Amino acid sequence: MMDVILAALKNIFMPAQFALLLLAVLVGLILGAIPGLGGIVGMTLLLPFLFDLTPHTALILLVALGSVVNTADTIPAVLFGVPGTAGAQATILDGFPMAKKGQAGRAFGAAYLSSIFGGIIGAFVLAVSIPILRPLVLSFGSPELFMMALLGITMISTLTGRFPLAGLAVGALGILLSVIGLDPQTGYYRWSLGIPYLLDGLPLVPALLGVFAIPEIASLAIRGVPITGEMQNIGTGIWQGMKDALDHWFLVVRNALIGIWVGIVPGMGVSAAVWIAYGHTVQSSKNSENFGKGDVRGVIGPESANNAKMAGSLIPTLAFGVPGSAMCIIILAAFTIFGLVPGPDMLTKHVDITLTLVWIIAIANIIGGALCLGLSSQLVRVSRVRIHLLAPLVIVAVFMAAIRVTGSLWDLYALLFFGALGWILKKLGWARPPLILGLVLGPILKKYLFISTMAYGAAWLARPGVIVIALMTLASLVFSIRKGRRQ
Amino acid sequence: MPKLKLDIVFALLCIAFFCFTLVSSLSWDLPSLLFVWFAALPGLICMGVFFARQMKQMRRGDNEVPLQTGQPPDRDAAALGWSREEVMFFGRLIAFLAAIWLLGFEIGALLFAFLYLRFKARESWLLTIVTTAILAGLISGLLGKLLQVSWPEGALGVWLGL
Repeated sequence: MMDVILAALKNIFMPAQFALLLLAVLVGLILGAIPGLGGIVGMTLLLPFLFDLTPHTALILLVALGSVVNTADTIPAVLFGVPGTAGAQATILDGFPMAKKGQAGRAFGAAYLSSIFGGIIGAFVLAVSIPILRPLVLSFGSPELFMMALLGITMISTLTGRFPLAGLAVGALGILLSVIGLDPQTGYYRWSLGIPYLLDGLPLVPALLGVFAIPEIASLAIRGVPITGEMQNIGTGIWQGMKDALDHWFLVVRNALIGIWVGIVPGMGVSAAVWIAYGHTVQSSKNSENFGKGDVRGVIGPESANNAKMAGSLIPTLAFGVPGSAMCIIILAAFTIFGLVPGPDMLTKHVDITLTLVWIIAIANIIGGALCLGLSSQLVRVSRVRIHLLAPLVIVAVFMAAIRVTGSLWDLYALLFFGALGWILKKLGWARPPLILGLVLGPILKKYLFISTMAYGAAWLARPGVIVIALMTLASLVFSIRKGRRQ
Repeated sequence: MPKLKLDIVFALLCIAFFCFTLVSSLSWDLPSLLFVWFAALPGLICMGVFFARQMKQMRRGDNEVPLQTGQPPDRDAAALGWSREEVMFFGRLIAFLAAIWLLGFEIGALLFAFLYLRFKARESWLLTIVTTAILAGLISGLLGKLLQVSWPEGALGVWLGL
């Protein structure tokens, strides 16, 4: 095992791979610093350019970018009171008042070091979870893996939008859209409408770009520039902030564990992680009267949690193919592109890839935090870029990414179709991730259902593991619907 | 007469799609049919219940508080029509697509970026030209020449035999 761990580390430090990792970290930081863009847009844009790379290299780019977005999103949160991404919502409460008091540098120092530690703790827990989860995952057959995928879709569908029922229907819609094209089990073409482009099924990349990137750009372009407030000075005190993070090391560890726990539960977004972390920080502090007025602990808690969440959400993604977050859906899509199947294989045959992911998260967080400490002033300028200047460039990038799939205009038709669909879902407050999750997991679900039915007939429904997971699915469903009605 | 809302119309479209998938899969082999029904039937039930609730709410004329969330509705979400800005945004995307079809990706993308920056974003001539030039360098130079990425040609070039 040790040699695999070291080989994974050595692989990252090869010159070309390491240069790509640095590039991905830099892009991730820039995306985090610009309010409204975020890691999902960046990872989606990156996806079509990964086809020619090896899985290791592609995952270095994707995961490094996604891991550090929550490090740089602190900058607009502290200086302007506008979160760079949802992961910095709670940081504003104390970070912005600190900046008003001339302590922005201290807030940055505390946030960056907490982010680094959060990321490292997350990576450590992910590594430790591999030998723990391996016997459980290996005991699963196709029926249990089918039910796990179903549980994941149910949880993401019911927890991510405003309407659990509509979210479930959107998940079902995604699964049905995955049926389009050649049926590998029978050799028949399904619902391809005689269009050659659809014979191989709906392509994932235009769908991802349409559902995730287009609505975000539309929102930015239509609603205009989010940053209007007066910028506070960074000031000095970065070292003091780092010392604060070290002084409150136990708070950092506790909140990192909260971030990991929230990450493991599919459908619980980064917003949930930072608010739970902030709540815990306030509740567990002896003197809590300064929270909301510029208490550095209010920055340390959420910042540790949001960087640890990525590793947490990778645990169910790798072990069961159940993505813990929207970013993990994109990683799952990358797995599909490279023919990697999440589940037992990722803990046995492809454990080197899993360990590479562990190292990427740890190293990207260290480099990201260090770059933020050194380049705060430059990143502040990036976060003030005018959205109207950025919008056409991002739109061109999205079209460029989509057309890379087959090089035909049909990629762009698919992009606009899914873009309009994504925008409608966003307007209505219905969950968008289940649509893509259904599209990604649809073929896997079908394969597992086919194998289960062929091997066991209807008896697979009576397997103890299946019954337990079915009960969990039902409980999640009932809980979400009841919660939705109570609200 | 209560105003028809976008969520109701969209829910109806989803219901129609679920019905289509259920009916069209009837002639398929059993495993394929089972898979479609396993997804479409719960989808139809969920969307049916959601649709019925929204209709009930609309008949009551209770447009201020959605049944499930209690949150005040987003004005954009409540309206069936799209705002002028939304139509303009998606109109620009369609125009961009038309430009790519007619002129090819490289020229279409540069034209789109130039026109957007100068006339929508109202950036200065200098910034518009510099940004478009950088984009040209990226698309044609870095990606096109260096990384050998081939972009689709325009129909106009084909018609003119270029």
